[in-house]
Amino acid sequence: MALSKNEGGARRWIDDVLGVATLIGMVVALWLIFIYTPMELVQGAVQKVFYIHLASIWNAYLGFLIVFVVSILYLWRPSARKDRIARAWAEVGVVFTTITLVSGSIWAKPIWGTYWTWDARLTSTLILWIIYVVYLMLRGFVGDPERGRRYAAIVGIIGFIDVPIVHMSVRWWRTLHPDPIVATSEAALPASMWYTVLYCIVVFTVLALFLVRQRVHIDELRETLVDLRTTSS
Amino acid sequence: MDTIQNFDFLFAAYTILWVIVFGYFFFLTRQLADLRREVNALREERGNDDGASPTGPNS
Amino acid sequence: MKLTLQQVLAIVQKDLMVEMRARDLLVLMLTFAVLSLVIFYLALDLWGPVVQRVGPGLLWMTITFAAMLGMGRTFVREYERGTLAGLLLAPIDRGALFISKLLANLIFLFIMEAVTLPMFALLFDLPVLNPAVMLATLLGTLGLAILGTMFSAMAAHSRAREALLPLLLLPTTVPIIIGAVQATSNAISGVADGPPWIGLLIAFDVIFLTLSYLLFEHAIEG
Repeated sequence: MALSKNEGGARRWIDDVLGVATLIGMVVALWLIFIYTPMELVQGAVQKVFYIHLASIWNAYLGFLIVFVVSILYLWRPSARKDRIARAWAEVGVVFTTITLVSGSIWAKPIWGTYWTWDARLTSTLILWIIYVVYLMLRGFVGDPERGRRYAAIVGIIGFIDVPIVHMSVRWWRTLHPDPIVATSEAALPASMWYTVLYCIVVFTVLALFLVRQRVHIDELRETLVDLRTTSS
Repeated sequence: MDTIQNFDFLFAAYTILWVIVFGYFFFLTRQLADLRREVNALREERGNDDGASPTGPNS
Repeated sequence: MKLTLQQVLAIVQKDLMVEMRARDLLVLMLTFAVLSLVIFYLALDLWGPVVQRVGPGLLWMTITFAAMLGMGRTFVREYERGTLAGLLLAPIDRGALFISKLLANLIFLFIMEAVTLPMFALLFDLPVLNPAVMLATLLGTLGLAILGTMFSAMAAHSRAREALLPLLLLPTTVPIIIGAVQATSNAISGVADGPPWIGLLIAFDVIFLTLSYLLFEHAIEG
């Protein structure tokens, strides 16, 4: 590969390791989910959605927390690198929020009898998703790249602080309406299920890390391309 | 009980998970490959100007 | 400290004078607000007990959209006339600049509400002219104005202009909208218990006032 000189062999190596680890981890996760853990008697097979659902929302929150921290650091001392990291985590966070929403809806259909209900968690997760989709669109709307990065950092901070307040308000608002039947979901889980949940969280985090690195590479290459074009003309 | 009944929902959920994860992954790899090709082409073009070969003595 | 206060007052006064001369902003907001109330009533064909249930929501949708329309204009106006560059060149603390812009926006919004609330009471026949609703309106408007001032400064500098404001403001002010609607609703129907909505509004205002005060320099610079 001609490009290895600038991309650094070590970084490609880390990517390869992460990629393979993710793949193996995922296969093991599937084994744990479908064979190791017992079938839940009340909810039936669909309960197995729970593992990816929880692991996804964990990643989404992790991603948005990183966006928040990196955004503060960016405003303190701006650098293109910080912005790339924040943007990559936000994008991966949105992907995982999407998985959370979709898997949750599919789980809800047989259990609650409807794909969507304005339950507190669903509603606040939807708003979370919207806030970070807007965050991702922002740079494109602003035009000037430096200003776009700065504005994105502001939204990265305000958005994250807003999340618990939104959740609180939606939860209080929901108490005025009849709650959907959540009876079975919070029952005590057997140990094997907990191990599987924790394992899935770890594997999904590795997956997220892998995806974030790819996303960061893309932005780096884009900038290299711009540099090459401007210096060569 | 009705454990078998909602297998199709389980199937749908995991299918969508894989579609989203692999879809996003391939979207990223495609972009990366395109960008790498473009950067390489530009480097080669410029490499001829300042004499440095893109497959230079590195690594 | 005294100097800062003078600066704040000077900027607020300047904004008010500009508006006194042009009058476009207030006219725009007021016409829009009254028009929305009428359109909502017609579109939803409201009568009887339904009015009491959906009224507070409609009131706050009207206030929110009218507020966005107005706040979006204030910065774009400065930007288009080039007065924003002048303001930034002046030796003013960015936090003080934020407070000035916030106060100016608040004054416009309160004037808009001073007309909208009685209009609403008249058209929808709901007793919204009571102290509890006033308090909810005051706190809710403050929350909208805080993030609205912040985001409209950003929107004015973007290619999308005012169009960006709703995308930023609507999802982030969900707690304000829910809190204000519920507090208004409780006040109208005389419900005393339930979640502390006023407390939620105060918490939102305090948190985002602090945050926006700190972050505003990054939103307004260059």
